[in-house]
Amino acid sequence: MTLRFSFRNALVCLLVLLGSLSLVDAQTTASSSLVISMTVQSSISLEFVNSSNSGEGYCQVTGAGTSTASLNLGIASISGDNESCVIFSSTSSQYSISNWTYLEVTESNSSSSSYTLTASLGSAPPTGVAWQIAAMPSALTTSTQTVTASEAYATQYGMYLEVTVQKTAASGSLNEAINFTATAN
Amino acid sequence: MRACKLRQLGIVAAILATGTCASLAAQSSSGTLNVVLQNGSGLQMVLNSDSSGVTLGNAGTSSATLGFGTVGAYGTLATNVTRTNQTNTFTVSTFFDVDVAESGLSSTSYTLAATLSSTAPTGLTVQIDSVTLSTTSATISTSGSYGTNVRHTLSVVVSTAASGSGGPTTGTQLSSTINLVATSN
Repeated sequence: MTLRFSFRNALVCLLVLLGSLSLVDAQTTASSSLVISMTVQSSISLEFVNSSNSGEGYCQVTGAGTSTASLNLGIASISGDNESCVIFSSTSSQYSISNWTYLEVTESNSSSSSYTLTASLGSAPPTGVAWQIAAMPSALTTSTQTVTASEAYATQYGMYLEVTVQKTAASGSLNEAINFTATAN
Repeated sequence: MRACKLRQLGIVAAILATGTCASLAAQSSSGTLNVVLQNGSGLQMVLNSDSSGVTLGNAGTSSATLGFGTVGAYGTLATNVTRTNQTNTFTVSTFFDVDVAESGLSSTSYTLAATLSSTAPTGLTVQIDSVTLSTTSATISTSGSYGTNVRHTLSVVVSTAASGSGGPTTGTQLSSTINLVATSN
């Protein structure tokens, strides 16, 4: 009788102990959910790049790799230009400065295989000054004109940019902003 | 003999009087309520907006939403969404906070794991803290601190391929549900 009672007590103690152990060892969890959403849109990017070429006709732009770059064509007159990277020519009535300018258009999430490039001047140039891209039939104006109707993505597109200044043009800054727009075909 | 009867009568009267008093005293009663409470162990997890992240829907709960808005490889993004561009992909990221509270535990930290409820939409890869998520549980951290907002980076890697060519569907909202589980260490 005494032995049986002791065994029962021992069993109870064991159960209590096991219960305590399971409480100590139990890992507790908590859960949550986060629903994320987005809408992906097709997009294209235009950025100016520098040519790997150098020398006459290959002035480097500042801001390469971005969509806003600057090109310094120097100080010029009918007698010449102080920038050696430009191509200079003159006649008795005018002079011209030319330079290769490059841009690259990339596309994302689009099945378009080509793009159309247009250009326009930010403001009308002074009298006697004309800006032209060689591939275009006429000088740039403040109206949008097509530079190329079908150009491949992710390749450098070179434009031969030329400014012609008549000797009658007033001296002073001829700064000009040329706006380019690429549109997926 | 007469005296004996008188004594007995007196005793009976005394007993009756005592019984009447006892009946008056029984108008009050008392009881004891034994209250049983077992303090168990538990974790609670809520999701909060991070000060530098996208504002969550249902912030402060265990069932929140996070909208990246409209995203593209180029162009503007929603506030507190950042982007990095890689070859063939771009990644949009933001922050969110996880706050796990514990009670009845001697644990000092928790392990956070995450799964996607279903496969991510085509062209999208979901990551938390650079850990790519799938329908199989992935460990995000093994030493989360209780009772404080722990910042995590949610990123979605987006293929730049066109829809139908391995890229995501464009122009429609894509969503994915992330299930988070915190387990006490």
